[in-house]
Amino acid sequence: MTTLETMATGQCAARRAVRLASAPEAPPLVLPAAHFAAAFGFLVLAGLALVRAAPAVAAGAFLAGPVTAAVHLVTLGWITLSIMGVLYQFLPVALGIGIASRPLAYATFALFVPGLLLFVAGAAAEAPRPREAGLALVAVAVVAFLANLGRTLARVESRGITFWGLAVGAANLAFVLVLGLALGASLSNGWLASSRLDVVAAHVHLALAGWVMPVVVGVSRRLMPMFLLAHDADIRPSAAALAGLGAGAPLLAAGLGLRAPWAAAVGAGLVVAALLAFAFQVGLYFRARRRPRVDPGMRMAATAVGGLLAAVLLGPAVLVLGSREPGLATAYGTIVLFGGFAPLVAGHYYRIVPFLVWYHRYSPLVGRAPVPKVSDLVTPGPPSLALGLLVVGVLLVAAAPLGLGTGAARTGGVLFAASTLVVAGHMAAVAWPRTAARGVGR
Amino acid sequence: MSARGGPDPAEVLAALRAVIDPEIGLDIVSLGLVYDVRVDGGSVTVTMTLTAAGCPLGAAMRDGVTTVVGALPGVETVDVRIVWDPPWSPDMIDPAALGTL
Repeated sequence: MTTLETMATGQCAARRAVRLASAPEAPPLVLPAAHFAAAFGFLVLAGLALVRAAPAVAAGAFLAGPVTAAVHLVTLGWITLSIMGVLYQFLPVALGIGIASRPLAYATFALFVPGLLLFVAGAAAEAPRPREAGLALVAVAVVAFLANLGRTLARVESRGITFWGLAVGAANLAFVLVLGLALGASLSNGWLASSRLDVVAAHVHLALAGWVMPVVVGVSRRLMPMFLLAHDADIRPSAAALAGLGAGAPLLAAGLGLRAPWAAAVGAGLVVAALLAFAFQVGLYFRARRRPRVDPGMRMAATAVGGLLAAVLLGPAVLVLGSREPGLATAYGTIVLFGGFAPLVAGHYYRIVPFLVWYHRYSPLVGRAPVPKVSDLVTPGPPSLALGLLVVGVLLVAAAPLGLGTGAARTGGVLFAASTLVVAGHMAAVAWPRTAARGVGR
Repeated sequence: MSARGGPDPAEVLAALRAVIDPEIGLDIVSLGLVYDVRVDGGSVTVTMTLTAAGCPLGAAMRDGVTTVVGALPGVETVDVRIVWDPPWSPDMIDPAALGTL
């Protein structure tokens, strides 16, 4: 056996343990917590923005300013900010090292949040100045994040699926940013002209299949076995998914952006195969689990994977019909983003937030007083309600541009917004219960 | 109480059941996290692991172990050693406890 750490005695030991909790590699709780709180704020704003964007969604006008605002509130405000927070918390567990620079991480956050608020406000109002200023701030924040993550990854010695998921995702995020800046400039001076739609397609697909999905595959490689106690699951599907995304997402984006149909088709095929491999992997985790009870968060995540698979069915038609069927493309984007990635992230919060709350509130009491389990902090009703609202809402919004019209888009948007409020309100109630002692005693 | 004045290892194990892994919801003994308990007079050494390296609960677990063992009659010092070899796996969970998950 290898002894790594030895404790002292009596009261000194308690003081020593407190010091260890803030050791360099330990997770800085304030940093991820700030990201999570802001991400929930952006999620709620995304729900409201979707309601406001209902007429444009129903018309299939996915390039309209309100749609751009709603989409970026989810992609940047909810998904990317959540990924940043999770990584700051999770890197020591996943890769054995913490983020290279915490001050840079705080600076990134300080630039990203106001930048995104400015950007979406400018996009929604179609006001160039706040949109450009916000985009500049977000761009600087993303570069800072990539530099920080790159320095961190360079120090990692054991390079498994999680490492490569983050590395592939980070590399693609850099290109997503370049495409985003090109699109931002084009909004102001029109330089992309008729290519704008192609670059939008490349930007969106590289963001989701190239940045978000590899990170999801990499992170879930560590989190899902932990959450489900499924350490024995075969992880080769994750490796296959990562390989498919690593090759397929850039190829798909290049094919879409450069109007090279063969490249887009091959890339799309690889991405679809990767998504199927990931769905199979999730199935293996569930089958191998030692914990029979599936908690609400994992149920939400599993439903989200179902949403992504539903989008896969629409994908080939969108690829073939392209801009000729903007309604189909809008429905596809709605299902991918609001019915797939948004709840996939939300499901993981049902494990992350209660854990952080438990850590903050109850870890000093371990061995001194009865403490609740993390799962005791979450009641199952709200996540089930949120999931139901979300599924119906997304289906209505997706069906709106296919013929159901503005009323369906608005109703669906309201249901989605209600779902975000249920999730955010529930997490707030977990973080700040009416009585701090609730749930103590097992 | 052992012949040399310290607690019996079985007493230490019983006390350790008051320390739970809040994420899984089982005590650290049932989880199989405790690898060894040695008692030498008033000195107790607990060798244990965590469910994952870098686990943020590490300090809380160590603190809890120190507290519950330190409260046993005759205990003067508590040494908690965190080891990673062998790595923990769900196979180490007490089968009886597994059924309660």
